[in-house]
Amino acid sequence: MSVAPICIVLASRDPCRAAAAENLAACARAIATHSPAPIQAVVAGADPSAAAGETARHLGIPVTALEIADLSDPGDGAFGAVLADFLNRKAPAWILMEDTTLGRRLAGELAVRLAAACITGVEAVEGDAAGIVLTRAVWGGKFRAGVRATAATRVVTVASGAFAGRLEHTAVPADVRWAQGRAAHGGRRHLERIQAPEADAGLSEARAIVAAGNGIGEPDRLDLVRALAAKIAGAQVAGSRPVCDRGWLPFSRQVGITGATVAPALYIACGISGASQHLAGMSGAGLVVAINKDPKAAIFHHADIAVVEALETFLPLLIEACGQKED
Amino acid sequence: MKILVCIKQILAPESELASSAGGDTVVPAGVVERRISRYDACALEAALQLRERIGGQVQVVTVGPAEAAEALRRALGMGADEAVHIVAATDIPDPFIVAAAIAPVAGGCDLVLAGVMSEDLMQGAVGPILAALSGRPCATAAVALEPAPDGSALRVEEELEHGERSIVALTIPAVVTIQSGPWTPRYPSLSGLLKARRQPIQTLDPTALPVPEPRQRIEGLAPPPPTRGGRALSGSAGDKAVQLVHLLRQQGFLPPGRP
Ligand SMILES: Cc1cc2nc3c(=O)[nH]c(=O)nc-3n(C[C@H](O)[C@H](O)[C@H](O)COP(=O)(O)OP(=O)(O)OC[C@H]3O[C@@H](n4cnc5c(N)ncnc54)[C@H](O)[C@@H]3O)c2cc1C
Ligand SMILES: Nc1ncnc2c1ncn2[C@@H]1O[C@H](COP(=O)(O)O)[C@@H](O)[C@H]1O
Repeated sequence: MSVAPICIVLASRDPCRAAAAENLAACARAIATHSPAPIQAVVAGADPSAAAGETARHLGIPVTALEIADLSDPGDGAFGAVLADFLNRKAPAWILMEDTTLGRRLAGELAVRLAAACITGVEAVEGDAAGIVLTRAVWGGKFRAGVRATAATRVVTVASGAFAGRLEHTAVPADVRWAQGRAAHGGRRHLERIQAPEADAGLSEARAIVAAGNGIGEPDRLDLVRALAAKIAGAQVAGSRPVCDRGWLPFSRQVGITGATVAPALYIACGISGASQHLAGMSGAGLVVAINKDPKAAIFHHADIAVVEALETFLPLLIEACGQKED
Repeated sequence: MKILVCIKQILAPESELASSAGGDTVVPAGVVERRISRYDACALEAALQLRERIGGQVQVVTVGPAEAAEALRRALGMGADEAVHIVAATDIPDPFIVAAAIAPVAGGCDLVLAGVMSEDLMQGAVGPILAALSGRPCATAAVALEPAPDGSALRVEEELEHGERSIVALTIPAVVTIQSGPWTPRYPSLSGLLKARRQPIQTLDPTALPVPEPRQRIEGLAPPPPTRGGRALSGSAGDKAVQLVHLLRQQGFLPPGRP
């Protein structure tokens, strides 16, 4: 009997984003080290040929180009239905997708259609005598949970960047097979895509960023954050999602997976808990300073300098100290 | 339109928490706050705004232990019309069991709203699974909802990554998960809270429902592995401020101290 494969699923609409494909492939390889299985990919969409070829060359694994008739966007309801049909015939042990809005929705749909476990936002893979344990963040990143699937098929979304850098490049000629599918949209029709607004150049080019989180509590405290930024040459003010949701800062100032990706030399996180969706936008920063009143806040695991203090007491002292001479 | 909102009561992440002895869940370790998960409160707000625009009823449902009834009371106080409590001995970590428990209640509703993810388990799974179980179309991470005048369809703006959005049309009945942003959950009024205290909460015994085989389980919880040094500054708040300024000066982020 052949071993059930590990199947990577990519949508072909977007150009082959090498980093995303590599991340999935590296996760697949981590699983295969503990539980050997062939790794393959399916690139699905209205016109998947170019992306499938590129993926095969890039990852060095067999790729199926799954052409879906009349598909305007992977967001159309037909996408999941055709994919489920295709995967059912492959009988994979693992189905790996990106941890995106599309990936999470498909994960739930595929898990139901394939009677599989549904494990999202996976950050690490470990093996033990009983099989494989997947690690994912819970409680805003304060804890990581080990999750074991008890179903034979597992649909997994892989946190962006979690496995990057672990791929050994193997130059294998492209091996692309074809499959075709058509399905009704099942009551979900894609209408249009709205492009992201222009990125805020101020943030992406800033040498330093002082970022405000929910811990600032009230909009007036942003003045403290601004006053601190004013002391630091080239510093800009940014915020976490809740701060921008409330309109305390404009959306263009939001750092994270649904906002901007920044890489300043200095990032000062003020009252930010350290959820992975925020970290994804600032993990490339140079020096990270975190100020938070909760000594167990997740952000302290991802900071170089940890200050356990309440912002309303600490920021005024810090601003004052910026102007003082040293003894 | 009859709208069902799935709400979960969570131990707030900013509370003092620890891993349980069995390592399968998180338990209080000091001062804790139990509240409605952030995105579920947004989902309830979205439902109440829809009701204000097009009429109908808003029902809330939770699957959880006895104390989760508090979350339902608050939802009633915010303005929900009815509440259903599917009583479970503990929090259920398997999204299939939660979705399967909610599915029969969802059956009687035109639109089901859930959070884009729960703040504790952060799966983003219950909504899509519930949709697939009940054969309904699904949209996720919604930041805008626009019902068709005849109530047969819904136009949903979904948030993708880095500010990109997509617009989809769903036929009703449908399931939509709600992202934070446009919806600021209202505070319950005092009269709302008083009324909520008298409103009945329908309780359902989950043992009377078919429980699917679990497909996954949590085995162990630990703090995240550090990705950086995390050097903690010590002393008084003032000492820490001086140390930090010194450090930032050393690294050239602040001008040298005035002599
Ligand atoms: C699909 C999706 C996409 C997302 N995208 C993003 C994104 O792009 N960017 C983003 O930021 N988030 C994003 N989020 C939300 C993310 O999951 C977190 O909810 C969010 O990052 C939390 O923001 P926060 O840390 O400011 O707030 P909280 O998690 O509420 O944390 C506030 C922190 O402040 C501390 N605090 C409280 N009071 C004080 C005080 N007086 N002094 C000092 N510290 C204090 C608390 O201890 C706590 O740690 C997304 C979520 C989803 C589901
Ligand atoms: N126990 C529960 N009771 C009611 N609704 C829930 C429960 N668990 C999850 N949900 C709903 O499903 C959403 C996503 O949860 P999750 O899949 O755990 O991230 C939540 O925001 C709620 O709307």
